[in-house]
Amino acid sequence: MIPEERRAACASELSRTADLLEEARRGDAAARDALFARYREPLSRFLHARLPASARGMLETEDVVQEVSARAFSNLDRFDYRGIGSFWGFLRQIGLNYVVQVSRRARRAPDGGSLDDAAEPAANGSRPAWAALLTKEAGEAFEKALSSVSPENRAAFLLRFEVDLDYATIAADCGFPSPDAARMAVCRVVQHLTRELARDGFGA
Amino acid sequence: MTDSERDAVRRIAASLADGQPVDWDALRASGALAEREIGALRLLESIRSGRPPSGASPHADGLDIEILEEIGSGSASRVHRALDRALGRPVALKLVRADAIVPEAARERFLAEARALASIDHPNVVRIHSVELVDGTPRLCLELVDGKTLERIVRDDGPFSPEEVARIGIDLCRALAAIHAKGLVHRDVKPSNVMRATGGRTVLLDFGVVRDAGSPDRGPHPGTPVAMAPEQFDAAGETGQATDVYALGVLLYWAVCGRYPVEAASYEELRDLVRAGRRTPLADRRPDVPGDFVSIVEKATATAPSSRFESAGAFERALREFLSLSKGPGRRGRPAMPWIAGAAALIAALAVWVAIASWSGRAPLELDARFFVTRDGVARGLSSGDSVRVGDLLFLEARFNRESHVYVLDEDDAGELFTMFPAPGYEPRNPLRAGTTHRLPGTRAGKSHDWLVSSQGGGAETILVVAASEPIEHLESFLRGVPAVKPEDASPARKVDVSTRAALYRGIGKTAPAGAAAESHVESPSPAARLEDWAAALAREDATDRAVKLIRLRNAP
Repeated sequence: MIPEERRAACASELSRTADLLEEARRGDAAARDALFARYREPLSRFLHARLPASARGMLETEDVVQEVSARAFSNLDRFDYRGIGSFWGFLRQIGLNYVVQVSRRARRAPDGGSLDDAAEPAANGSRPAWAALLTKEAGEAFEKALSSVSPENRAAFLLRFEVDLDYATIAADCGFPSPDAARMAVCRVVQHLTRELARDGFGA
Repeated sequence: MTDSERDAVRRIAASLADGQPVDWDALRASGALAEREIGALRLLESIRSGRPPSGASPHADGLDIEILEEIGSGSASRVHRALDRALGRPVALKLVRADAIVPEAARERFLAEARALASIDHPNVVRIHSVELVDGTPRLCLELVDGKTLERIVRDDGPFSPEEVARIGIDLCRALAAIHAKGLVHRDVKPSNVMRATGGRTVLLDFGVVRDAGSPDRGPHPGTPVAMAPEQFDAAGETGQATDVYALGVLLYWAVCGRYPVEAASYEELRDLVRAGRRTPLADRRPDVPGDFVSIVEKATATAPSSRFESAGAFERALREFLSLSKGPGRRGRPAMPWIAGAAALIAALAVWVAIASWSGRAPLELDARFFVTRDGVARGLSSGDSVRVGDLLFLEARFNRESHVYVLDEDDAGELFTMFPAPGYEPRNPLRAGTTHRLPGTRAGKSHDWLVSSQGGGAETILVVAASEPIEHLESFLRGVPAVKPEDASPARKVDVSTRAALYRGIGKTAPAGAAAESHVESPSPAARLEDWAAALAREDATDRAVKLIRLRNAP
């Protein structure tokens, strides 16, 4: 169960995002900036992990974050807000699309290297310092495995693993009856993803 | 994947979700998981942490801890809820008190505690993340256990049942066995040092006075007087495994009655009484406790160390035997559920018990559930096959040996399905406490409510009661689409006596088609599944400990 004061804090956090979104849609630049500032860190982490080295050379992660935020803002009118989970799903999808786009652009560039740069070990066999956290294949396998999870469980997992929200907020946002229920949902998703990734050979 | 591999994945999944570090090297060395599963889990860890997969300590670069609030204190230390900002996870931070009487000794103990904890990796022992010296003063970064101490639970909710205490004792015996295996003695096993974590895990805390059994043992011996063994009062005595066995015996005694075996007005009086073995017999404090349990506690708290259990393992074995015997007919020391006036018969047939040992190997979840009907102001027990009629009030009394999440579903012959519990807005809410008889659906604004029977014209109702030590996420998800019984004060038109309680109206909601068999795995429960199939499918799932009970009632024509 969510303690009353925590419930109030969660409700405040949730309504704050909703309010900012509404104000941003009405053209309030300050609200837009405040909204994306709230997600800058997880978005930066998300993009940094997925940008291949070739694209990294062309763009700083911060530039990418700005670009993705701008794209998200221009699409806000088409976005149906159903909580933080849905908003983060919206942001990361735009981020994924952008990563694919800049990766293709990098591949076409004269010195861009290959899309699989990140997967290639350095000469001494260790992982190169500039490597993306996730190889292209691993990222795709992760997204594929994730797509087999129900929307609310997926939202709970992503809010925990990518946005690092606490279980009480996740429970309030995703409609779980308690933080413990939200935690259990996240744990089950991890188990499911482990099975899927291992089966596809991305754990070897 | 084998059961043990599933257990390992489940355990590590929980660690990753909670932001706890995973010792990948140790996992590999244990051979508990294949490399592909380990690799998949490490991939997920990297997504969680935003760092490349690595076995390196998350604290290799030093602590970055934000103290949030004090959550406990002792004579030499304070414990704070804190946030590890680098990883964004909550931790418990233990610091030497600035006003410690002997700060040097406190620092030494801190380091000894850190080393002891670092040497033990056991689910019933609090985990240490790191230790850091700040200006020469150690600070311990520990696992933050979300839950309540046994002391708090008993103070708030009263003593446990002997069976529940035995289960707690088994967990603590395992913790002690792990500690003793490392050549250590805890020396301060007491109710305030034992947490029951959310989800039911029992965790032994506070190794502040731990002793390396290989080091000289000179008095005076530290400890908490009411839980101390006779040898701890003796400067020349030597503390060892038997000291912890004694303290655990005292804890079990206290947990079933809320009192200590020896009570005194002064330290000297207490010491003399303990040395003389002048305890108040447990049977005097709780005459309803089974003799087997009393004997175990008495053996553990024998004055002479050599008369106690020779090891934590032997202690655990005795508790297990008690539990296995207490499951037999007539062996419970007291009625598992106090009956309300007028209540009688047990629900017997059609009970399906499902209990799957969890990864920790603890005892199966037990559900003791009985339905009652109140008619003409008189409550009586219901058995499968009994009839109910419009206007009857139903309630359920349920009791568990562990904290449980409870779901009660009703299905009629037409396949209409309703959620009877959880009942939004009513108390209690999930999870329901162990060792207490819960009357469901519960109360609202201090007023007891029942389910009102509204179905008529014959047919039958099947009611499924599911108890689980952890939330059944897919079931909860499914239930959001199932009509719930709605709170509604019974109106005079329904000819229900509302003088003492209002009622929940059962029998409204949309139809759920019936007929298809449940899948073997209920990842997404089908609305077409019948309750009997669900019961079997839920039983087959091995995700957590569960107990399921079905009752079939006839509607009077």
